[in-house]
Amino acid sequence: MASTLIIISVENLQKEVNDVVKTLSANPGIYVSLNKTHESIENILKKEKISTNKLFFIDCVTSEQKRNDVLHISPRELDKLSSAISTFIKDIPGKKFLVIDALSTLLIYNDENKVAQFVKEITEFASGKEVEVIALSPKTKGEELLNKIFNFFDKVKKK
Amino acid sequence: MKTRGNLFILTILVFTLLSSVASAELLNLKTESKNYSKEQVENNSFFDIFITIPQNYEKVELGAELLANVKLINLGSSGRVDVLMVYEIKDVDDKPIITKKETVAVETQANFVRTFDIPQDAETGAYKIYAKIIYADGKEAAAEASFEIVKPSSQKTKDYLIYGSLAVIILAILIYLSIKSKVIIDRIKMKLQIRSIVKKKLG
Repeated sequence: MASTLIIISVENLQKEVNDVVKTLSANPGIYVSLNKTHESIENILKKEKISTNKLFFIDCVTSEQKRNDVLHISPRELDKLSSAISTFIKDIPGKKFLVIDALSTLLIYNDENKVAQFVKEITEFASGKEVEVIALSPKTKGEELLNKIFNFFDKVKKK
Repeated sequence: MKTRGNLFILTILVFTLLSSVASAELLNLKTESKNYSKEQVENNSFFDIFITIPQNYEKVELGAELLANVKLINLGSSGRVDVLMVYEIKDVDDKPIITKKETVAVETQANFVRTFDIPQDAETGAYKIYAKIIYADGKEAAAEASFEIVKPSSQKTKDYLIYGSLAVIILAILIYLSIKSKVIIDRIKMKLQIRSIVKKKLG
């Protein structure tokens, strides 16, 4: 399975997320939400008639535990986030996907190198496993980070 | 009459003889008594000795000076007598660390102060100082006092620093381990939660 970095304008970011999830929704997926709450994402996806039944949310925006099936992890805790993603990848059987929306948000809370390290860990862990990794990032943010991490992905799409 | 007179003279002579013998006996007795008294002087200690350590010196640091007050009392012979003084500082196992000798002249009483340099390499702990006076044909009198050898304050400060640093390091390790164990426990909890979420959603 492949890993893809999608660099897209802020305006088109959500539409791209919707398209990605819609395309991959036949399989279970892990959704790491870094700039919207899981409720907000779920509502958007439901409006687009995209099933969220097989989506596992990691909410990095709110810390309030409202549902037992959602993990809340602070974006500052990259180790914990990495561990949670790895555990989901291991525990979900068969083909699956991972969406990171949006990667550059991590730069608000972490050093650029730490974020790069985090990306490296995730892509390395996912390679060779039945998981499709899609990381999205707005065009305008974290250009230096993007320069550092694009090598970790199999594909980089600029839209 | 003549016989009576002779008997009288004889009685006087006998009496005189007896009295002279008695006097001599008495004189001998007096001499013996004097001799006995002299023997007693030789057999019993006629010097008394006291040694005291001032309160300030009851704890002496390694390499410092111990001060002791010595008091000698001449109970026997009159006049000036030269005596040999032996000082010994011994640890609890009776092992001497300092031995000092000197001759002291005493008339009726002598009070003096003696100092002893405590070796740097001595063991710390309880010690005793023994003061012994040797006089007239090896007769002795002795006294003792206790004190303690302690580490110098600078050494103590060093020790406190070392122990303090060790305590801080141990505390830091404990805090680190406690944080680390909390992280590990949190991770295990999170993994169990993920397992449960996946199980619920995907059956």
